[in-house]
Amino acid sequence: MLRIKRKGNINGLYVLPSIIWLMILFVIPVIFILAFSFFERGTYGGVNYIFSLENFKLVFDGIYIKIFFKTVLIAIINTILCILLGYPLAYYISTRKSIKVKNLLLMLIILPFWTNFLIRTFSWMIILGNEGLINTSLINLGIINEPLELLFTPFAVQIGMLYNYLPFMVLPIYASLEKIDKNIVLASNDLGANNIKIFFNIIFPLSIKGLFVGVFLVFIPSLGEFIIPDLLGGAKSPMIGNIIKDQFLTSRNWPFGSALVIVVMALILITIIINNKTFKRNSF
Amino acid sequence: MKRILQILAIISLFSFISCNGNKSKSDDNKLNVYNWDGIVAPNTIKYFEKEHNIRVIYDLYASNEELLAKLQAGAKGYDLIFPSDYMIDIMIKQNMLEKIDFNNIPNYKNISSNFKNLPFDPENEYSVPFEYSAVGIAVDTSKVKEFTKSWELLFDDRYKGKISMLDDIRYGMVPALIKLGYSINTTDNNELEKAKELMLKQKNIVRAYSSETYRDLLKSGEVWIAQGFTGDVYQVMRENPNIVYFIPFEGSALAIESMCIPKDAPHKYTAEFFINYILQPKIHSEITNYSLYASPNEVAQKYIDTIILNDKAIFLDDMIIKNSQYIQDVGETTILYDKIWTTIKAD
Amino acid sequence: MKNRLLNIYSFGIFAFLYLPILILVIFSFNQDKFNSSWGGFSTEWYIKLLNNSELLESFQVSFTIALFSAFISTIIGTLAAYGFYKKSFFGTSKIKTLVNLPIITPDIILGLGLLIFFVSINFTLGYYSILLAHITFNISYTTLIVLTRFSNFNSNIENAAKDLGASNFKSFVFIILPNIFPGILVSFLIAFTLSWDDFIISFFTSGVGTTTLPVRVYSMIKMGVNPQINAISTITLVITIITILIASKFQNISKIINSKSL
Repeated sequence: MLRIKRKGNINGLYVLPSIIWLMILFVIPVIFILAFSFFERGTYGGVNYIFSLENFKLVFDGIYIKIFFKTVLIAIINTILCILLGYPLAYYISTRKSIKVKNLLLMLIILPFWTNFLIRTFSWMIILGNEGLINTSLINLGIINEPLELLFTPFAVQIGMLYNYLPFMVLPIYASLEKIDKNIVLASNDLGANNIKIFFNIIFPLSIKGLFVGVFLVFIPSLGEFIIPDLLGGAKSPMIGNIIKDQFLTSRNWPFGSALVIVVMALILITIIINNKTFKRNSF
Repeated sequence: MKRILQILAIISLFSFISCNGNKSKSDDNKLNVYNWDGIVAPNTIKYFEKEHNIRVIYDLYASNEELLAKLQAGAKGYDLIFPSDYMIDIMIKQNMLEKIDFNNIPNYKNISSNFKNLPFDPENEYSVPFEYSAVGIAVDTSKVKEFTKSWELLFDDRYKGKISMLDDIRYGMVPALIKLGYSINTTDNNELEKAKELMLKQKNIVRAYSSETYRDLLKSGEVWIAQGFTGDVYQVMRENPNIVYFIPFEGSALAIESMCIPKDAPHKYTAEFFINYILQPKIHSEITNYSLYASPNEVAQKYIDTIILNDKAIFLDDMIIKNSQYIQDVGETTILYDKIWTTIKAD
Repeated sequence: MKNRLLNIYSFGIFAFLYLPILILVIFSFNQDKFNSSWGGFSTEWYIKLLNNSELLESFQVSFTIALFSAFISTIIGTLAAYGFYKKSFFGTSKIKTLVNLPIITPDIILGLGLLIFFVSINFTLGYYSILLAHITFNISYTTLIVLTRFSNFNSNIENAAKDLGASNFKSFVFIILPNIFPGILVSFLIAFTLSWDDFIISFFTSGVGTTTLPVRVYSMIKMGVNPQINAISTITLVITIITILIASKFQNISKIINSKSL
């Protein structure tokens, strides 16, 4: 123990590359953009360098709050679905006997995502459409008479998001399950605990860190999603990501877009800080 | 696993080296074009390169707005861009375009006078018209038997759930504004408010807002009636002959794409040379025959397929042109349009 | 009984994951250009693809960028995770927040910000600007994932090694790394995937002559994304599967060789 404490300073070096990299290539660029939020939109879409806090006032206008809450709801549902579907899968993979099989299954999970995102989403349109796979099958089997409206609904958006975010839940959970010492499990077995007890009292708690990381890697980026609501939702229900993107592109209102981003990021940061204070062990 | 990584590392090292060794040395024989996909015919660039020994680097963007954002943020190196009318307007006002030296483009005389002195470039200094189209309506006639060629069709309750609209803050508002008798460039608060109400009501019967995938939807029968652009719709008409396309008689929004040169383009002369090349009647007509966007090039018309020339949806009827306008930038009212569009979508 | 349930369930999830992929592959043989319905069998898209030098070049660009950004960001992230693990009893929360920030930053902000940054320091946009951008957003993911491997990590192993005389470096390479290897592998896979699929950041940080595959595909959307993209995705899948099979054969052979040499 003494040895480690003395070398505490050297250990700081390990984080240095990442800090330097992020300071230069992340913090500075992002500050450039976010600085625009304190100025006015130019008449033709540029920036008028006149200081103003109007953009922040506009953020709290009714419609953007409404869209933000809708976005949070979609993200929460997506995260829960990813946990419910993803955890058992991660568990399954980590309990396979051979490491070759485990690696193979890992690759199989990630392989679909090495195809093109747009084409994958088009495939979903073929599956969910009124003239699509599901409806045609159900009608041919005589189960329904009229096609179910699946495409361009909130349902389609959730399915699309679940599909595209699942690996980001499965893989971190797998990473933390994998390192659970098999001997602990064996020992508990020897001591008479049944499988369910072992799972809930030993395995699950040890995998919580992975679960938290999975939640983080699914929930946060879900908030910024914009392609899936456009393609699978028929653009009928924009998420906050769509609004932000629009400000930088079609509305040419970089100042307002930046203000939106600052507010959203601030809210997320506050949530993270609260989370860290509550779950000290699983802090980010 | 480690094996795989090792194999990948070796493969990629080779491709990394070969990839970055490809850049040509000489700078004078280069032209950097930035364009939508598929706008020129498949061989246009290749023939140009062969004939004039100039290497063309062809990069792609997917929307006017992405082009603008990228150039505004400072991206340089592009010699030739193809913005749409309102975008040219915006770029001129923000001083982002070079004045073109028309002494290098003698073929400019081939352009019809109908397409000169347009509102966004009244002195013809910054742009050379390339192709034009209009916003119209595509209909699947196997599902929709009788209809009038009017914007009303997009508001028809009988086709609830079978209609798609363009997902565009300006073009998407065109049907409502024209139906109410307003200008598509209106800045009047009341008019815009009324248009908003109309579109909120319409949302109930709209299946999707889409600027590109509506063609896939038309083809598979997911929607029967779709707002779209001329050249785009014709792509899918080839694969589903039941689909017809028309420009409503009330008039529409015209859209013209022009060739422009961004400020500080490294190969300005070569760009002007290329523009002149494109304006040759044979070359320009080839592009029209392929993309099915109408050409502003009068002299090229004798090489354009007769079917295309006679198609009123492509080479627009005079009456429709009279009733139509170009989209123009509305300055600060853009914020209001954005708010309205957000409200409609978020409902 | 419970095992069988788990087996069936997992099979179901894999079916869910691969149904769209199956459709994607089938439709790469679609005669029609618009993929929303089937128009007959045809291999024309594969032929067109092989002649489409621009598309193939974009593929190569995306592949190498994904590979290198995954490598580098995994290395930086692993080091950072190790550093966080060591300092877990000091207040490093501020630095941790910094590492987490890119994940909560929307792509378009990072993309535009980097573009402005590169322009302001006169860094020519191109292959390397995209690579640098990809490494930037990947560092957060790799750090976080490798870090999961470190929680509840048994530091006694490391202490034992040090007591036996191993240097810091040796204990890192021979004790720590093998133990956290699944985490490193997972973070590499995720970093590769994120880079491979990235569109917005790649679009804004790319320069003349460098178009990544997703950017090219998105730009094709105006003419209709044609089945050449299905074809290239199918080929990607096939190549990857073949690589995995070859690699596992290698592992078998090397195991046999190793065991024989003992």
